Amino acid sequence: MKIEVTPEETAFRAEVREWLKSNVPKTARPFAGDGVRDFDLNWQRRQYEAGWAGIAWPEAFGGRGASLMEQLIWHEEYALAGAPRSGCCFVGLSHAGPTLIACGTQEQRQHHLPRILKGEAVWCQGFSEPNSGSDLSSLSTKAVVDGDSLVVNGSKIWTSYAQHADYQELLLRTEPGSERHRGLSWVICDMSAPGIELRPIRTMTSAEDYHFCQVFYDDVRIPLSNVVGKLGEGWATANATLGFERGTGFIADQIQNSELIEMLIDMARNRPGADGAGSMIDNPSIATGLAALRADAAAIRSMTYASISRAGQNNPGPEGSIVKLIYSEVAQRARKLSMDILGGDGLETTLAEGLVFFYLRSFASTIGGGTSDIQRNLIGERVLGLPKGPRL
Amino acid sequence: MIDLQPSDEQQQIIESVSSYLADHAPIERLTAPIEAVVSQDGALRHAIAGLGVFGIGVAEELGGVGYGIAEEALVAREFGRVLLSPSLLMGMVAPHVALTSENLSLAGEIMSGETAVGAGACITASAESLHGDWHLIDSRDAALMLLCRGDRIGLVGASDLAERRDVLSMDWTLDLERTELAGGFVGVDSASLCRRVNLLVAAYMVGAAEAATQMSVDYACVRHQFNQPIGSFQAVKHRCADMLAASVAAWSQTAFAVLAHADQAADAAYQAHAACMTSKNALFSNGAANIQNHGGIGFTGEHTPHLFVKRGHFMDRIGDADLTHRSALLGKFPSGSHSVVNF
Ligand SMILES: Cc1cc2nc3c(=O)[nH]c(=O)nc-3n(C[C@H](O)[C@H](O)[C@H](O)COP(=O)(O)OP(=O)(O)OC[C@H]3O[C@@H](n4cnc5c(N)ncnc54)[C@H](O)[C@@H]3O)c2cc1C
Repeated sequence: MKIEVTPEETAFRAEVREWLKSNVPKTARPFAGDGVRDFDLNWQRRQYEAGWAGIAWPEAFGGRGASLMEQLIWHEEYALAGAPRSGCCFVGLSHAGPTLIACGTQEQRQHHLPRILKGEAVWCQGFSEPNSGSDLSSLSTKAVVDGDSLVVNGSKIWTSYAQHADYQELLLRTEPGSERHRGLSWVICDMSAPGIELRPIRTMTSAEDYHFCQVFYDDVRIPLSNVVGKLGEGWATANATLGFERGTGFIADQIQNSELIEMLIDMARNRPGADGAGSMIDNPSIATGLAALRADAAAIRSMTYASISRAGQNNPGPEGSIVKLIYSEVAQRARKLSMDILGGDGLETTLAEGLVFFYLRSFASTIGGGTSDIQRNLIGERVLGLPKGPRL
Repeated sequence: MIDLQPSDEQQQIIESVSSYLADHAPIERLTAPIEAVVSQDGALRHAIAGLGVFGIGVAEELGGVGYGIAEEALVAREFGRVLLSPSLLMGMVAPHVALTSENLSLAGEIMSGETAVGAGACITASAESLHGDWHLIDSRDAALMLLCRGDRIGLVGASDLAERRDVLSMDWTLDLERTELAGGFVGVDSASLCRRVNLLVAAYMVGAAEAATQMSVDYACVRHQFNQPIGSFQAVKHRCADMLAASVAAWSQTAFAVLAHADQAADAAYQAHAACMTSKNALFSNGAANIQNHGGIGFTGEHTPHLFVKRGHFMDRIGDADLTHRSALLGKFPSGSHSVVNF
């Protein structure tokens, strides 16, 4: 046990801080709408040009090849600088790209990896289906081999940013009659292929926020050369990159959450109390709520450090679920408290730097990426070794 | 005798209101995949007045139906189940406010549905004068706004409000304006009428919390994952059980507080604060649990779970806010506060 910062790491931090200071976009990222794609790609391009793109990707594939400690520093500084989240570049950078690195062919890598890094292509993730959410491996969108193509029929849902995406990582049932994890394939789907139809779905955050889509496939032809990994072994491909960044990617979210809590403390000091007397922070339930959040935010950061150092260069595995579980619930609590502090102003979505928008967004954090219930099941079974429930 | 169960007569009131609402204001009216639906509930005002709802708690000799706050609360709970517009809820309180100045004709116009009442939600306003900033909820056609803050309550004319402007509502099914009451009108001091507002808001919130529970239970029975209904997973089943427990606690307390209020019991204020807190807790926690139980669908703006959470925030601003109840509950109450009402 030790905390030791090398001179190289200190220098790296200074370099990152300097660059971010003069390059983080001055305008806020749009909450929703068509401006999102351009904004995210521009920001990605800017990082690419300065050599920061793919911070965790190996240098051989065009990434920065940063060490774990450097990644940590990058994400910390990134959040402290108020840099925008990767948004619709997220799937390409943190999931599709790393999957291609792990399982793709030379051609697949050569074509796609530079486009992701340069901010030229947006990827989305087509895993969940209307009848297969928590129980992902029951998925039924099917593809049959026809000559040198797969022909896809079915539907995916909750596909974030599908309307902005050029490519989709698509998990399909390619063996007729196969069950559960067997007979699935991980496929690169060109979103402009004929037969694809999108239905954008409004979220609860605002009437303008169509964050995700239902995607319909009607005889969509995908070349067999777009299968990543082996045909019929898509489950292994899908799992190859779980925890790719070994938890460092979440650091930025966590620090932004800490920043939010600090901001709420200031706000509670400056806003008049609920009954006009004193300020909000004089209210004991606000004060204790904020204090507890500050402690939790500190603990989450330490948990992330602990899980990264435990994992070393390995995948943090199911223990990553612990951080996600706690983080998402603490973030929700912080957002709920922000509404108490906002008081009557909280009824207006436009006010106060998107606080209301992000409060509403926080309801997704215990659902997306595997619900908190599923995280608890994973912790119970895979970390604690409790008897198994229905097969996860 | 203590009896918190509705009598046969009260049961009939519940049924007439709930069957009307089921036909004319089902919760599904608030969703449409393409359009963001703004509440059309104002159009139901005359029909709801026709059910006798706005005068239900007003004495017969004053032109009302002659029941009391208990019946108003039962109606409010039904309103909450379908998230009826808060402005219609205020229609039940407004005649009482009009009667404080013996304005029988105004009370009559409100009870008949002729005069529409809007719902004011306090942003920052003085409890001495009601002067300050207000939101107006679904109040565009209203001639009068019901404002309530601390122990002060009043009906303010639409023309007395300065600079009304549209703002973007967190709940897009509710029309929202922001305005300022700058001078003049001051309302009346009436702890009792303000408590009436608080209790009807509480009853409404319990109704909403109960509807959220039912929605989760229904979904947990039909949604299958891992080849079984998700209600068979303890995570979901226990959440539903907690939702029910929260609603039962909140309704029991609200019913008790309503009776304590009607009987002007020594502990009426304490019981009412407790009712408000438990019902707000119930709606906020059940609203969130209902979203969680629905998974991805719960997060969409195309299904109704999110509306329960949002409605909680709007109702919290009508009458006393949650934080106020929390502080108030730490205050001193007349002896007998923790025992049975002095019937
Ligand atoms: C904002 C957002 C973005 C998303 N983006 C994407 C995306 O880009 N690509 C993609 O493929 N998917 C995406 N998803 C989908 C997400 O992965 C699913 O919503 C999630 O896995 C839950 O599935 P479901 O919605 O079908 O809910 P269900 O699985 O139907 O769950 C309903 C309820 O049952 C509970 N439950 C289910 N099984 C169990 C069990 N065994 N034990 C205990 N409780 C259980 C759940 O916890 C939940 O409370 C996104 C979701 C959200 C909210």
